[in-house]
Amino acid sequence: MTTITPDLARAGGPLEYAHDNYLTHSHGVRSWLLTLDHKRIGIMYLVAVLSAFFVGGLFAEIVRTQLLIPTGALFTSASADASPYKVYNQMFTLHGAIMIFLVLIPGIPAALGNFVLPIMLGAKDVAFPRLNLFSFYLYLSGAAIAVISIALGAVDTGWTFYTPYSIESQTAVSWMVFGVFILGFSSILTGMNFIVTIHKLRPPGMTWFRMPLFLWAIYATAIIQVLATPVIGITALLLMMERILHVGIFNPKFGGDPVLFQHFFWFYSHPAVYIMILPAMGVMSEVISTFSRKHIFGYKFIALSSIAIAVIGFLVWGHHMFPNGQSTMLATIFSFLTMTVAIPSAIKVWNWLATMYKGSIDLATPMCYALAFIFLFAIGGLTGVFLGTLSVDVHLHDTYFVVAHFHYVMFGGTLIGFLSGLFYWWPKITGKLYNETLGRLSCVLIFVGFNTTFLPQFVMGSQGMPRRYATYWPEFQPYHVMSTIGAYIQFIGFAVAAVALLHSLFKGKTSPANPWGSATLEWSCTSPPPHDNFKTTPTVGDPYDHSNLVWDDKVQGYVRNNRLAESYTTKTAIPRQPKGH
Amino acid sequence: MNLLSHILAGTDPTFFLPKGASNLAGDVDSAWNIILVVTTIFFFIVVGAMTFFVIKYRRRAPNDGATSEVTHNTPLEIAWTAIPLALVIMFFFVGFKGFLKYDNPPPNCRHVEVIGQQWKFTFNYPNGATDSDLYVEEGQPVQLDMHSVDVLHALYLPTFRTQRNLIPYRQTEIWFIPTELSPAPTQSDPGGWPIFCTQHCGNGHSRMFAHVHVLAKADYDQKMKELANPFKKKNGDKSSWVPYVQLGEKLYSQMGCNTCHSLDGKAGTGPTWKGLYKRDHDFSSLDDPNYTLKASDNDAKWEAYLSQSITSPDAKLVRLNGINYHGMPSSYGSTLGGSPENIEKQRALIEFIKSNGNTGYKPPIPFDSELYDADKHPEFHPESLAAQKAKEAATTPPAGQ
Repeated sequence: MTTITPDLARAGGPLEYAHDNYLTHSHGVRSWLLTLDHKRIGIMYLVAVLSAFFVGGLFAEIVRTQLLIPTGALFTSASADASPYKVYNQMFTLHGAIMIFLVLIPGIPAALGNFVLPIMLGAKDVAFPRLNLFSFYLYLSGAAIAVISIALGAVDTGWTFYTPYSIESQTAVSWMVFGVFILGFSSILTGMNFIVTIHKLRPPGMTWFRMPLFLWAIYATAIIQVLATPVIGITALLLMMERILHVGIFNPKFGGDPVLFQHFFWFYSHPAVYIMILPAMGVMSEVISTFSRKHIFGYKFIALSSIAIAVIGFLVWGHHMFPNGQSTMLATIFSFLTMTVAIPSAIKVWNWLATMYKGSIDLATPMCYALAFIFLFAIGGLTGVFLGTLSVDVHLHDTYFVVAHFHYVMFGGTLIGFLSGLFYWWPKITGKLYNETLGRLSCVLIFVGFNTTFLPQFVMGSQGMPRRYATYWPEFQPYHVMSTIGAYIQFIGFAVAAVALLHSLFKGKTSPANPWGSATLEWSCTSPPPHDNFKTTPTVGDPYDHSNLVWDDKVQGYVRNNRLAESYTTKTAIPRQPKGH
Repeated sequence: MNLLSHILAGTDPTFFLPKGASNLAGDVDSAWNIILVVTTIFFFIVVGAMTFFVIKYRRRAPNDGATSEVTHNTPLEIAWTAIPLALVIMFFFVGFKGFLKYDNPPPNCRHVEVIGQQWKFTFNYPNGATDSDLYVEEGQPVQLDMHSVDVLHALYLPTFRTQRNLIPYRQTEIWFIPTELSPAPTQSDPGGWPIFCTQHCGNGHSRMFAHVHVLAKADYDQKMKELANPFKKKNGDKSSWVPYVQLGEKLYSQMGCNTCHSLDGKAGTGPTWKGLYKRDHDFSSLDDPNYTLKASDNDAKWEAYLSQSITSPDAKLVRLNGINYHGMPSSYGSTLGGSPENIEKQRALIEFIKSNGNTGYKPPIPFDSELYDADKHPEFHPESLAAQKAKEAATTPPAGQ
């Protein structure tokens, strides 16, 4: 494959690297821990999220290893607390809870969003920098409490904490949900900060419909965060009260209703999956337009579909409970609404494809991840139609089909979107270029490993394999073995991605301001950006107009060429440059 | 029943779906097939277009620009919104139609009560029979009236394409018409089709399963009779009492003891029953701090201990091979306490525990004793009678005082 992304090994480095940037602006641990700079806070989030991801991933590998053989490969004999399966239940619970609350929810908005949102918008920082730092420390506190809960007796209820098992479980459920409560505040404050920033800090010329689509996605996400998260907060408190004070809201022994908990839980947790996927969709819009060198197709449809998802996403929670003791009438209404929420997501996929049509597609690492996203998200979305269909869901409910569907959306969607964004903005964040070959290799390995893991789970699920089983009937073994092999391949893929990124920090070539030819504002400041982002208020243009960006061999990146821009036509005007060497 | 036969439609197993053997399977499987075809077409359109564009419009030099700057096309955008919308609304109606069936049981359903507990299902039949497996009659509509006694469970019948949660203090229902006889049990295979618990319910969740057996009418009636009185068995015209040790062995799996207690010495959620009787016991928690239990203690003390461990499992918690066992869920005690019949079942289990792994075991009454002849002694189980007499002897003051 021809590599046309900047390869600086032969070019002597770009001219645009900024030696005075936000990383070198001040020094010392204190300058980081007490920073009000959204970029540094974003980096601290990034480190925390990636650490949590590593831990959550290890739990996943343990879960998959246990399932290699029907009677369990790891936890077969009793341990000190007497049940061999309890440990397995703890492992999948921790995997779920860590991945959801510590990785997927804060991953893109808090880590990448914090870094790029103000720069993309043309602002010097978020609206409330101190609040931003505070919400980071809330995140750390919540994470710390979650870790303490592991030490006190790792939760074995599943990340869904269904009552009354979560009331009766002898594990540290109260601690874990208290951690979730604190993490919820972090999420709410971040969302509020972003909403105010987008409303109040847009520079002149940055109208709503000139905002990059990533910002629309983050905005829609922030609305959900602010409106839905309080519900999980109060639910967590009620669950703690139920455990400690026996108030009888969820516990049927005291007149409570265990199904009410599921309504409360999913009233947050369904919108929460949109908190997770919407920002990834925003990343896709940026990456696909940039690497196709073409204006995004159907800008307004994409922007408004984010809002549509945010609104309709609040009205579909009952589809998690079709056979769970919800009335037939409710189930019917929820099924219908669930079908309609599929449409805005479908619109986005069509628009991304139309953006690629007649574009100039560069298969750089972020674009490879974006293509993987479209492939995996298509499967995730389409299998959601099976689950939204009432009669079919009765057969598939709580089987591995659901597990596979969920991972295709949350991992194939959100996490792959996060990786795409991470590789996309990495040169901007660190000022370093990574090795493209390693980056692409990581994408291929993760993609192959992912499908090997989760495609068989659709089949075993529709064949009737229930989820959350520490042991299983032998006829399902071939699927489980394949699935576990896939999990190991993914592990290698993530290791390669980590090597690619870490290697760039130490050995990577310095990055130009605009290595990819993006037209959004963050690429018009240096890499890494200066402490205050913009010396003067930037001029705002169309975020998807790539026509006056041309490759410059001297800087090994794309530059704005106003002279060329005047005579530029998409087909012929730019003289072809020789390849970047 | 003939009236119903036209709506009875089973389905054959496919790559994705297991055999469908109930009246519900036809609708689910046809909905599955419709959605599978449509979504597969859409998937290939998306991935096909993506692959084609990537190959065709690949950038060959850094300044290659797009060859089109089209930014929107309203008719196209309306089309790709409206067509999927129409399709998903169609799917909704297909699913809705099938779902209505789940909610409309015919009036002639046979009702079976289902009780879920950590970690077993109990099926109570109209004639008073009880078992840990579900027996149904081919072609006869059945409604399961279900509830849980502890946490949430779910009863999932993949072959019948149905499931529902079991909720404490609330009844939920499943109904279906089995359309096909299930595989008969063999020496190595319990037969039937799987019933799984699909709602995470704690340590034994993945061990909480049962079988559904679809029988022809005559077999079903025979099975019901057998289950109705586990204490007696029929052999031709003769009926005889089942010795406690044999009954206990049956109850061991019927009542779900096997989920946690092994017979071969393997550690499980509960302590193994192998060699349990008359082994020096070590406890991690005791209701009476001075209590000890040694191999040398007499049968009465041992039996009292076992009986208490069944009905009040938290009273004395055993420590075995370095493991501190938790108390068993109290729901087991409540299903085995109280009625004289339950006390007999307790004795049967205790007798089985005594015998397990004990080559020198002697039953209280020899198996070939004529006392087991239920036609001659129809009223009481001989071992129950013997226990009663022993108790009376112990409480009646000896003559002459």
